[in-house]
Amino acid sequence: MTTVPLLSIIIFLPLFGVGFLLFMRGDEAILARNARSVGLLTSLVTFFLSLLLVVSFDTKTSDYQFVEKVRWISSLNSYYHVGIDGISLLFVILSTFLTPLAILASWKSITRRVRDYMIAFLVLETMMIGMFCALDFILFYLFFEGVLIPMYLIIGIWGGVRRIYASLKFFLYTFLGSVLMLVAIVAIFFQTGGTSIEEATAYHFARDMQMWLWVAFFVSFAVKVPMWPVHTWLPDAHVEAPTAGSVLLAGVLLKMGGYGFLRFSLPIFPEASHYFAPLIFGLSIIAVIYTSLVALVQKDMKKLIAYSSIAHMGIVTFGTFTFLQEGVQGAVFQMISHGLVSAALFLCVGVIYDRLHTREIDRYGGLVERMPYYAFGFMVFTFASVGLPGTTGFVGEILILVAAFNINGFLALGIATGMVLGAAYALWLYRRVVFGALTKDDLKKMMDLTRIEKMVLAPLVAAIVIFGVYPQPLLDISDKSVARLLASYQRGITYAKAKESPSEVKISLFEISSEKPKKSFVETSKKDTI
Amino acid sequence: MTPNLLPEFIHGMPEVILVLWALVILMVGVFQKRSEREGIYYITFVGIGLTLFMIYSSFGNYAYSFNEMFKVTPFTQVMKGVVLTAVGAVFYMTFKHFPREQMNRFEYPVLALISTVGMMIMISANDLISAFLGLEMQSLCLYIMVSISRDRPASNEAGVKYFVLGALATAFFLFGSSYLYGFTGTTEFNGMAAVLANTSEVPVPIGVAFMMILIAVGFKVSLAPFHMWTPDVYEGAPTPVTAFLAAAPKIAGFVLLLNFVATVFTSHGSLWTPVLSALAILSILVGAFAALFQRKLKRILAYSSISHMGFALLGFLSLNAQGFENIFNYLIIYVIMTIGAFAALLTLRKRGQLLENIEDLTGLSKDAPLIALCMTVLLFSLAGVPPFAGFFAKLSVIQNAVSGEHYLAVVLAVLGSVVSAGYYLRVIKAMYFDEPVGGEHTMAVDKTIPMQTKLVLVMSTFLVTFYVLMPHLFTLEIGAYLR
Repeated sequence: MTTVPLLSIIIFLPLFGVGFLLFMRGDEAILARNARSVGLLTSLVTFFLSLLLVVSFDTKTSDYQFVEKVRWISSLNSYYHVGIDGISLLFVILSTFLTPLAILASWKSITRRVRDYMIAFLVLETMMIGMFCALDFILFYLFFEGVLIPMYLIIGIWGGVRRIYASLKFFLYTFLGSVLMLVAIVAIFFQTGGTSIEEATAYHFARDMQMWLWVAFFVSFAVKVPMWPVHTWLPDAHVEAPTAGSVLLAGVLLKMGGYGFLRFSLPIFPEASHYFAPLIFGLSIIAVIYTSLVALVQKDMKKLIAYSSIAHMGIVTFGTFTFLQEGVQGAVFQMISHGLVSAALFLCVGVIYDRLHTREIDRYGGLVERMPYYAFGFMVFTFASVGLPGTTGFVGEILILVAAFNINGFLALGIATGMVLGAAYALWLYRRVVFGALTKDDLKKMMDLTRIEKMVLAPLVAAIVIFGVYPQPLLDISDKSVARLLASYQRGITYAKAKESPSEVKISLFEISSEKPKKSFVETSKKDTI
Repeated sequence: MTPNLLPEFIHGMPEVILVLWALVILMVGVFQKRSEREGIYYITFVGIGLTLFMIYSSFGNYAYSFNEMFKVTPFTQVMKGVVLTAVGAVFYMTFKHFPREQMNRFEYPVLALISTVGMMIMISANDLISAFLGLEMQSLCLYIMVSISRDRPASNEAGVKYFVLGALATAFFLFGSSYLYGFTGTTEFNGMAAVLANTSEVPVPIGVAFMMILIAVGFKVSLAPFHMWTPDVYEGAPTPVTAFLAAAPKIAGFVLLLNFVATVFTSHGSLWTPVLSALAILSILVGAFAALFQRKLKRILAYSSISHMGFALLGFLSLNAQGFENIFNYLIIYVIMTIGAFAALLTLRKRGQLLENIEDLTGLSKDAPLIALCMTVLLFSLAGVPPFAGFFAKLSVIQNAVSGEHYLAVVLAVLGSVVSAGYYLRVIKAMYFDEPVGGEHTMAVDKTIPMQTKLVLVMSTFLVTFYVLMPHLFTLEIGAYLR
């Protein structure tokens, strides 16, 4: 492709903006205004640069593209190794698309410490993009964990009443989840002699080893997704986070777990994934049904949407572990769709929260009379959340449902039940907030969307409808990569079967890179022990 | 005929220079007025610089002197360099604070330098006798330094506590040494190793001796369960002394431990790996859980250092060249973070008094944004959150432990690090999330911060932040220097 390190530029451009913000001086008000502009400008430029990736992305190949590789930590044989395939490209675009919207959404609502706020968001953007591009375990972990710092500060400084509790819970929960992954990464290093994700994918781990490593990775991703029963940090974090924080939390941060399952669990530990798939199905179905029921009884709008996120992500994890092209494609699509829809829903809550400073559902009603534009936008997002045909929500759900029927009719029934419940709470929320009689006095003075709010919501409406009607471009981008991912999964499974009964499968053995000699400190140390 | 001692002394020149320098300062100090004291502090820097230069100019030597009691290798030279740099940095950031801490005495630099010589002898020790001399020379000076602010009862109490417990540890060391000598007939490390190499089973007295010496060294570097003195002494000592105590001595102690374990017990891994991993885990967990309920910043840092020592010990679980690099990589990063954290503490004064409690930091991010930012970075780094240096340090010792297949120890250690993140976050919470009780401007920390302290703070923050770009900064290729 080009010799310009486009990917690195996109990853680190937000940090450049941070450097700029750090050295800004001046009066508080002017500083705030300038900080907003710098934040928005940086994230917009990042977004447009990331569109360059789409333009020059080759959908015909499943290889990693825009690869950059620089030696980094020699004692761990680590590289600064970034590159994207079809799956990561979608998430990179999602991140760069949502960040400017999040910054724009906090244009008026954040008045305190605006510069710090922008710094936190730009650092967060770098971490998110970097994580989706990383092709080295250590680099991945660095970004994966690095996300915690800005998000912790965003919730803690600009959050609601119980922000301190929520931010601490968020940090410790996710930190606890991911430290085990670090141990697993070091263990992988001793198996494969490096920390390259590609090498690990080509390597065949022994069955026992796979189980342990899979569990370690599972814990950290399950907390991130979040899966039932480790989801309890999410409602707290969402409720207390400022609107824009919720947008990125739901829009991108939750996808890190799902992305992790796709990038690590399936291709690197196929046997373990196969073995644990029923567990995932079980947890996913519980998540879908249980959290939908919990969502039904919520009085707080943000909490309701937070629980709906858990339910939707349950559908995603289910799709991922069907190991079918439709299922995994559906999972990827559903994640992108959910990234747009949940972000949009949180923005909608933010709009009315800014006016009335309450998120209690009962305090609203009949908004359609005063806020027609708002009612329209909210409607599109609600339909997308429900999965109505013509919106992105439908595409992902139908693909996963098809895959689910291929696996087992009863499982599909469980997922479908969750979807029905999803329709119930989403539509009921809409009815209670937007329809009904406009009786409350303070609601009568509510203004419709401002120009900035329209600017924030319009792109989301457009994206949801366009890709809902014509999802093929997105599916095309991820198609080859998903196929390769599943091929690598299949290879692992056949290899395992071949070891059990060697006569059955011989041909497929050619595809497997033969097991490398185990590199270990313990052995080498014999020579140079002091 | 007396042997010609001069060639023996050549290898110990840096130590000799430093001792002479301390004596010069003593002389100058006696004849100097109290108001002109700063002059001595500058002379101290010259002494440290000169010693560093001595080490640098003889770098690359391999030599034994004084009947193999004293060992000079590039490894020991690098470590001495690190110790001297740490001492210099601590001294540089603290000397402007001496008057306010009631420790503006000329004895202080003298004691600090002699203590440093003790550390250097510990690093070079290749014999139980020289190890003991170094250990005591270092400790005795530290006891006095801890209680140097004579008018403050807390300082005196800390000094006495440190001394009494330290003397006990010394007794353990001697007791263990006597067993080792009794069994092997020598006090010299290589000689003992030669005797022990011929035994397949470690005799019980040797095991006892090993434990005794481990207790003594573990006390000096504050490993649990020999850590009891740490929080009290850290809290009671004047903050500049605490900073001194928390940085360089730990490195010296670990080099001694490493030399001892790796030389004498190299062929008896089954003896020390379970013990060391148990101590490591215990230290990490004690450091993590005990600090959760502390309010005083210095006590929190004390527990944090206990926990960090546990992590450094975890690195021992794979004793090979790469493992050495990782241990000392860890210690160097620890020292940088600790010095930075203490620099931050020293900058925070309200009406001349150092801030002591977490609550005192409330709203600091508005009052002193730069200090709050630096401190946040350092705390996240201490907690081991990427992308800061502390993460890479933890990563490298975890690598060691996993290579020795101590999975349980590693899992417990990382879980302990999550717990310890809890109290680092409490400090950050106070600085950023809490609103000052009486409105925004009740905080008002003093703005007259010595430039030196600020410089050290910013430098350490800088190193901790940008370490990610140069993860080989402190790897030092120690492995290549060992033999």
